[in-house]
Amino acid sequence: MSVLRVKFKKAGDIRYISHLDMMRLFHRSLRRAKIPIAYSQGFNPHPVISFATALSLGTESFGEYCDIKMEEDLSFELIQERLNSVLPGGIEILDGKYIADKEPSLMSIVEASSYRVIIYQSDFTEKMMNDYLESFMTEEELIIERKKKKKKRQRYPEFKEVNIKPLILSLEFEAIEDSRIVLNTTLITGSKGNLKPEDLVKCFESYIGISGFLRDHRIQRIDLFQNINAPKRNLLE
Amino acid sequence: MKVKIDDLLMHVEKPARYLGNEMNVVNKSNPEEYIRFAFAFPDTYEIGMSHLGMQILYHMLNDDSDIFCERVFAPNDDMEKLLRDNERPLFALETKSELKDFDFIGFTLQYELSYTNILNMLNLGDVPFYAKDRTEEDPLIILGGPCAFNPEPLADFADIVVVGEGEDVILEILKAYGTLKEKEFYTKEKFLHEIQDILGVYVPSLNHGEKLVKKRIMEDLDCSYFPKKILVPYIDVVHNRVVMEIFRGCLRGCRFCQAGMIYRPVRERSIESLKAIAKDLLDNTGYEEISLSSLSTSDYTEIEELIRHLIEINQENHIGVSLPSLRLDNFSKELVEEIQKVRKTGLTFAPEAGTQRLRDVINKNVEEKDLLKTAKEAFQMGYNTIKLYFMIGLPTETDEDILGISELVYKVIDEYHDIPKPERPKGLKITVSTSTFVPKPHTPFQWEAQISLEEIHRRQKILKEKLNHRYIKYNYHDGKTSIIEGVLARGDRNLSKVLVTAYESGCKFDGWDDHFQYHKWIQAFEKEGIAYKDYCEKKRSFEEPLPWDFIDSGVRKEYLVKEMQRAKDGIITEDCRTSCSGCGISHDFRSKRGVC
Repeated sequence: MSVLRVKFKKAGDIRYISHLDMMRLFHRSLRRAKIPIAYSQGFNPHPVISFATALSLGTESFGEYCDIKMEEDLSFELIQERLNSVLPGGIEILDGKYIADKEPSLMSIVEASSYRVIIYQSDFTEKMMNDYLESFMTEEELIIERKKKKKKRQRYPEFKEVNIKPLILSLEFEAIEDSRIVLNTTLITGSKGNLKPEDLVKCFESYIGISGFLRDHRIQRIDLFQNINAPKRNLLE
Repeated sequence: MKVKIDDLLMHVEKPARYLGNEMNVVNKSNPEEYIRFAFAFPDTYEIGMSHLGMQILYHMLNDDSDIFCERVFAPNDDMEKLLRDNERPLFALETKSELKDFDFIGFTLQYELSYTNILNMLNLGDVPFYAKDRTEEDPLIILGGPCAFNPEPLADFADIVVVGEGEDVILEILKAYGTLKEKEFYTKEKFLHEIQDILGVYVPSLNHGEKLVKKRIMEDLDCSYFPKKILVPYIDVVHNRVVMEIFRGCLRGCRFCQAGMIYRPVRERSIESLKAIAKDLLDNTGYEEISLSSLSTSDYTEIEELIRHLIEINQENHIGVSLPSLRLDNFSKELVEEIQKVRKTGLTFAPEAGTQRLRDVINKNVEEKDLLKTAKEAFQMGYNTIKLYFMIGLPTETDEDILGISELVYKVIDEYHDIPKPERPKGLKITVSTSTFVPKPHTPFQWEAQISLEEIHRRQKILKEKLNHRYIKYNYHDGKTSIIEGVLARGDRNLSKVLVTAYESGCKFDGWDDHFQYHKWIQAFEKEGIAYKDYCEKKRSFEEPLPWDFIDSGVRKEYLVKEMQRAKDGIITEDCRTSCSGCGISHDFRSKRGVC
């Protein structure tokens, strides 16, 4: 039995389904595509598929990855063709290859995500944005509040302060289009830390003292990377 | 008009409820060129998407080149608030068109406590409640489903009511509409006149109960429509699996059961067509489970062969087979062992009453020794979870019958203890659920009194005390919902104004404990001068005219009277396959593959 590693996109309306629903969708699509996948042992056998990292509901992605354990090795091209013909609109298998059994899991290798963040604002000029971002990025510490994991029998959540500065690898202003600001950012993802682009935007908002960026926003994950030091490699490279 | 919702989706729970892009969805370009039908389910997405009838009609209508059918569900509270705050109307999922854009809105009436949701959905769609207030521009409102067998509480809201099985009738109604529109002769009045004589159609504005309306039946299920593909939701819904209907009707004739009467006669699909349907549906959905649907699954003539076949073809794909509605008396140990090979499922039994005397009264022909034997076999097979369903408040019920429920449960526990420890599973869990009996139209108990709220609480309390045991979990419903259900079930046209008043005071989602507001219902009855207890707690005489007398279910009133007498005498009636009890359904009907 071997493992197929695939890269796929999740864009358009399908971004509104949760990670759990995504997994169920993959199980059913693989079955519909008649792809011979391996099943787990036990009372309720299920397909063995693992994703690199969860994608928040509402976020689009052009670089998601998962490992699929196969019962029988079909060529990637054939699997891609069959799966793409049954997957719902917006989800598409982009690339893939068989990996060696001993290869580390996606979850253990992912270190960073790159995003395109489109936020709502009408009064900013390009110059203002560039200035704000420049000074934001020179700060040593950028503190946000995060909910702590709930303990047993705890009724109200506790908060802790986190410095997100080390989690921001890059943050750049791209353009203002139709009163929407487009930013590009690369953030730490995986076992060494995690920063959601929404939290970055909230932190930036409070830094410059405004609100409303997330009123009608759109976030696109561009890709996932396995080493944060140059040269960056995505999870298939 | 298309309703904009993309700016709302990130602010509601489970936005996938509103996307309308599920696997196997149908979308047609230029929707205005079709006869537009909105299939409206007056409950949440999760409930509505589990309904097989919707799946059948949705695909059947959309297979027709002149019709475009879309879905509408009751929005959850968060979405409703956003729609109202932003002054946007309720929309259909496929094209996001508002309700007013449709030619027809068809509501399915699955349970009485969904009636206020119908009003809420019309209100959200800016469609007037009363048929008399709607203009030529407004959509026509069609009602159907089991509760349409007493349509009177909703009659003033409906333009058309479909009585019986809807497949053919709906197509005939829509075709008549299309023809009139094409010839440019259409007026609402002309149209309603034209369709009122279609078998199974009731037009409340033209018939105030003086003309008999006969129910519609699909004679041969093998020739009636069943979809090759069904909608597969992204989010988890109540029945998240392939549901395959194996037959309609029920052999058994339980005297409390409305479904057992109104869906007569028994008509089976052939095993060949079921095999083909199962293959198509599993291939086209990717579901991991198939469930057989009917009122009493083990009564299907070739049930063993069917299950063996389904298990055989699905084993390597790890697709499970589940069987709801199993009866105790012909439950086969071998069959259950087969099913367990793929996926473990729970075991559910419905003895309905606690003593043999009362089970004879209701004609539930299940014996205690069968139940205990089956429970024992289940424990030996490794089951440690069993669900038992009962009703309280059945006609002639005494405290002895109530205590009989708990005695029966403890006998099941004894069976478990009788098995030596190493041979039985650990952690026995018995879930006992009681529902309150509500007399329903077209059943032998339709004249009976429903027990009062105080009495419901008293009987529940007895069981609560008796069933306090570490192995037992006792579930019961709030008795107040049963009172309102009882009033609406046997209600008349006077109740439409109560429905509006209750809705306007804030009643909706009455079937949900967290939404149900009993005091508002009682206030609405008082305000409209309705003595609601007369509807549910008063015993009716055989001579008294009933609001649903003009609806002909095919089962004769004389038969219902005879069955009521036999119930009083504790005489059971055998199932239809063993001997015909002359209910009347065979009078003008001969099934090709069934019992009559």
